[in-house]
Amino acid sequence: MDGKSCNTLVVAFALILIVGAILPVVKLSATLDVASVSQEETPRYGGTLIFLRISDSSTLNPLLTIDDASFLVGNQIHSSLIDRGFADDGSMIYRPDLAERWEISEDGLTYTFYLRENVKWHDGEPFTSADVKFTFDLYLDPELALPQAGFFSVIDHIEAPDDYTVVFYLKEQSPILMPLGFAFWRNHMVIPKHLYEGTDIWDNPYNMNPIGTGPFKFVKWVKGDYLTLVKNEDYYIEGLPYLDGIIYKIAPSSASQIAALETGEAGCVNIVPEPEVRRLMETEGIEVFPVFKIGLTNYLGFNQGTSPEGNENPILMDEKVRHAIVHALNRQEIIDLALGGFGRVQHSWVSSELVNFYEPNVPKYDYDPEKANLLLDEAGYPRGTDGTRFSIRLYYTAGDTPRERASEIIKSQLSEVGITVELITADWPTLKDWITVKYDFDLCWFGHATGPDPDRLYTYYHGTQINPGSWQYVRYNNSEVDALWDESRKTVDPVARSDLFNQMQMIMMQDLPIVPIQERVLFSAVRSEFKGLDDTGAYWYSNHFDRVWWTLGELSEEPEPEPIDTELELRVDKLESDVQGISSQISTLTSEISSLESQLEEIPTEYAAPDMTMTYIAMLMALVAIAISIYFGIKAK
Amino acid sequence: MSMKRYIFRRVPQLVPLIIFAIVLNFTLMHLAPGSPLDYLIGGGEVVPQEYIDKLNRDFGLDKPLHEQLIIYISNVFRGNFGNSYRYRAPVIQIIAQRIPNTLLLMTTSIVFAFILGVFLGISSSKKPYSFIDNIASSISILGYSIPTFWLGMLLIIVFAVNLRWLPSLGMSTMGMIGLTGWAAVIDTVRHLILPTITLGTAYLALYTRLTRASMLEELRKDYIITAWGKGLDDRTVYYKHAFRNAMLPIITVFGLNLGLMLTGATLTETVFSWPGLGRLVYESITTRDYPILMGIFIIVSITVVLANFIVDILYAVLDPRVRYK
Amino acid sequence: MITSYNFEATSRRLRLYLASIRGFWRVFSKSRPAVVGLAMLVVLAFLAIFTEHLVLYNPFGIYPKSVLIPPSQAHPLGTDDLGRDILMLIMFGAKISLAVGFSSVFISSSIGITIGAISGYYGGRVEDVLMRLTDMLLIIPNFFLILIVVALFGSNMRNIVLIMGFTTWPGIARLLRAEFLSIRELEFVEAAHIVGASNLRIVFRHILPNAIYPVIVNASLQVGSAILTEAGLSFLGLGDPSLVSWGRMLSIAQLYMRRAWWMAAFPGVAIFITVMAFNLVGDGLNDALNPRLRER
Repeated sequence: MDGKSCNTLVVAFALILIVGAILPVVKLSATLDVASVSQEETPRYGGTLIFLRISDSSTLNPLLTIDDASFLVGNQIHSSLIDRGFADDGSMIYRPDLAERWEISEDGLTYTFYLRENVKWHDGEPFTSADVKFTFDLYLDPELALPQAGFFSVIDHIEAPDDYTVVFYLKEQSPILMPLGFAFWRNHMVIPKHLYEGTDIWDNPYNMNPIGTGPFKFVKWVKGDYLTLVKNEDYYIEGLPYLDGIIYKIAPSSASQIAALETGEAGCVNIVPEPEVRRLMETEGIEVFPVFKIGLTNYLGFNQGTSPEGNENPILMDEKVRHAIVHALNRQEIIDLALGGFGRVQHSWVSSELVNFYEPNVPKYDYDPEKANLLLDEAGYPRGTDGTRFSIRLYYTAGDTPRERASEIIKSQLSEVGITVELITADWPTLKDWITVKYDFDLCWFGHATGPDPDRLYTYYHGTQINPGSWQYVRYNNSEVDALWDESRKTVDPVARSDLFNQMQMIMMQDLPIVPIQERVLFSAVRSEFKGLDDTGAYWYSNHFDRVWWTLGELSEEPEPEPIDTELELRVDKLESDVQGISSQISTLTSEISSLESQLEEIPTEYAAPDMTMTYIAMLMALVAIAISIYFGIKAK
Repeated sequence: MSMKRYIFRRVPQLVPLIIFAIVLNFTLMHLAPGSPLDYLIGGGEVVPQEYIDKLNRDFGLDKPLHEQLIIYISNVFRGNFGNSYRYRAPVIQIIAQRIPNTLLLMTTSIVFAFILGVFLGISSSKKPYSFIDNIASSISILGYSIPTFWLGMLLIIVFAVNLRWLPSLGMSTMGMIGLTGWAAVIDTVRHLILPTITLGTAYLALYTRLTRASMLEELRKDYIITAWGKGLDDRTVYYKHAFRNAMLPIITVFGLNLGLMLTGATLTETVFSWPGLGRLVYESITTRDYPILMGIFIIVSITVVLANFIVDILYAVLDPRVRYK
Repeated sequence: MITSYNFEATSRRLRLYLASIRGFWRVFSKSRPAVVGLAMLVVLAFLAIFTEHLVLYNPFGIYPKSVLIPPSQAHPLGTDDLGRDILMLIMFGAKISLAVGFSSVFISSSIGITIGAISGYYGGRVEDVLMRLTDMLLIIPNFFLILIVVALFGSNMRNIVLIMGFTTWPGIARLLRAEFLSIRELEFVEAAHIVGASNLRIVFRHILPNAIYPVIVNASLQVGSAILTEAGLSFLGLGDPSLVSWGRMLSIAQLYMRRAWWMAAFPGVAIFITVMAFNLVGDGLNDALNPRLRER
């Protein structure tokens, strides 16, 4: 090739690049292709839901693991005795799944489930009570070391008097067996006896190739990439599911997840990073809704304990100092700037979402830097000549941007009262080792969901739980609280139990082993073409997607599937008081969100997309200028 | 000395290298704080001690470190690379699933970079300081200085999100699993374009400069002047004579790049959610999935060693002087 | 042994030295890109050293009233999610990038030069052993090792710089050894031997000054690549959180790419320009110092 054609080629190439850079200006108005979404409410058949998530499942046998990513998928393949849901008024109810109805005896020691009769496993075998007994017997077997055995330890033995009846006999009454046992989204699924009996459950090949009774059947799993499910034609509810299939795809970067959602390459994302929530709410074609994880909180733990394990921080052991630190923090600002702006300031270790347990009169520590300064002076840590009092270390997990930014805000706010904060990050296992084993920290970010009952936090705050490796990394040891807690575990009367937790909160929030920051709200996002997601509650992605439908599918001649029969929904009265408050919580949060949304309309500057035209042109000119100068520069060589 | 003796001398030197690398990596990883269980057990969970003990037994973590090392090495020599802690599947299977994806990406990038780079390099060496030369030099300076992940992010925003010309993540369009034949090929190609540009730019820059420098040096030499004097035409002089000799350093670099091929794409794979080896490395580090890390490590080491070895052989083939040392 | 201070000899040496610098400059300044690169570096160095003292801005502060403002008059490059001015952050970040680049290359050069010189000069068994060592390190994929160390042992600047230095010296060692191999056969070295100069003197006074050129060039290019590596690490979330670093700015900008493109664009441009400056200077150095090219 000679020089001339070379030149032409290169010039052409350059022109293409420049044209490509200008086009965005032209195409600025390109938004999502919003397919004309049918306004009818009749569900259509067809379509595949593509679900994006960050980490892969570890196994598809629900008994063997506790990682969330496994249950995401497991709940579509397997069914359980009962399902949880939320009624229109927001109260939690139990819905029949494999069990059509159930009874609890007066004394609370016998739970009887009456099973559906037309259920088949994906391989064609019939489902019977033997499968249920087999599954739950596994939990009771101490040698198997199943990770979730603890939830069912209160069961004494199980009987299956006939093919469609199962009876559980308990050792003692348990207020938590239903919400945290049978209906909990993780551990309530049934596996087939005919495939697992007599085998080593840990090594059974069906763990990677599961057979269940759920609305979707397993097809293929490419680890670390994607997992495919296909519609179960023999699903026990006639006419369901609507979807043809579901594909779970791994997309490790949340930024690319959102991008894929917007371009239509994906159907839903289960957790939207906080900075993107508002923008997605404004985007046509995407629905954003809050997910209530029940008591999800974001807080910092103090290294304020003493114990033979060492690494104590005498500064933080002083209660005044801890109070001062929380007074010095403007937590609302932290939430607004770094943690997405949604969710309220946390005041107690029990989230206010748990209305029946939350104590509203807990000592509160409002933003009051003057008081903080006073307390610190009183505690004996005056400011030095450079204005600082002492220094502490704040730890967070690498890659967690919201907490990283929140930490920076904390650093800045605490420096106002003379406390220097050093930010330290590492990956999770390293952090866990430093903090829960070596207690080598001062403040560390933590956060979790309580679930409907605060008893789950026993391992975090009870005195007997302090030993290296446990979650009692704050080493909180208060015998009064311990005694109250132990009593609550024996108390069945919900009012009395609630009162005990109230007392505990009053004591603990005075002791202040943690810096309560935020009661989090998580958001999920779905493209509007998919309807029917039960999006009103926690773990919505773990409910069967059997009623999810795609608006671009086809209508069918088949009769409509049976509706969710409200008469069959039984409210378990004993537990009503435990979970009643959630409805008011949900409506409060929903109204909060709508008030925030109306605020959105009043703040045009941040969300009006900046006029990109000029900036694009400017960038282009800059690029051309750089190119020209380099060209001339090199030419002079 | 003959080729055969040369090869035989080199091979035994490779094995201790690899073993050393294995031991080093193993020790390093196990010295790090934290254990694989931290990932599996997650935040705030309470699991019975029996479960934890069982996991430790399964993973062989209950034995002292040197014992674990010996067990591991003896397994490796029998071809057993163990099972991944996270996926509970054989390491070889998981790596084998990912390698082709990374290979596809890297090969495309390097081939793209090599061909275009060499072409640009030769063209610019023909007429130093001409228009072509300046463009090529500009591209190479720019390409070498851009952070790859930043380039990736920009490309995604411009071409995938705003223009919708190309897909933004992954290796294949998800809704269409099961595409065969031409449709599958085209789909993969569409997904390959942006990552290839992102990854290939740096290499493109490298090859352009290298070729240009190498060619310029060759072109000064006497035998080239002789060739011009003989009246040979452009193509013969440039390609048949100059380039064949200028190729040596380019091949060396190419060989070095081959060796690092497998893990060089970590950042690009993250940005584009490309299911490859680089991303697997990063994930396995944060979840302490030792078997996978060791497995990848061994494979990469072997590849590097082999690549260097092949480069040495090629050198000996192309440059007779080396053989007679 | 010097019994009296010889002014004349010293000043002559000094003059010769200055002359060679001037000679160097003459060649170097002929290449405009190299000069441009140098100018950019000077600006960067200035920013790095003086920003803290000249600019009254706290890059660690929180400014809730000016959150996420697009490029405008008050904030030419816009602000980030905590209200910080991006232009200011870039200026403050120059110091970290340059520091990381220079210190890691300093470490790798020191080690590399030492090992390369020893193995190149002495040859034989020593060379074999050292080269095997170098090979071993070359086998281990760089980024992989860096990732492991930083993720596992904590991501602070000290760890990052150390591990980068320790993984990049083999290249320099090999380069220097190759140069030594060719130079030590030259006549003037033999002459020095005959005269009775000690090994150390030969290495430092005679061979090294001539062999160092490719290392200098390589080092300047390595600074650029060290900056890129640090940016990559920060991007993955493993950067040092108590410092203003351009890579970390990019990592945070990921989530804001759609709302605030300026958070991602400008730090990337900063990194790009800095690395380019080092590459241009490296090229210029190559042209100026490479004796083979200079003969023409």
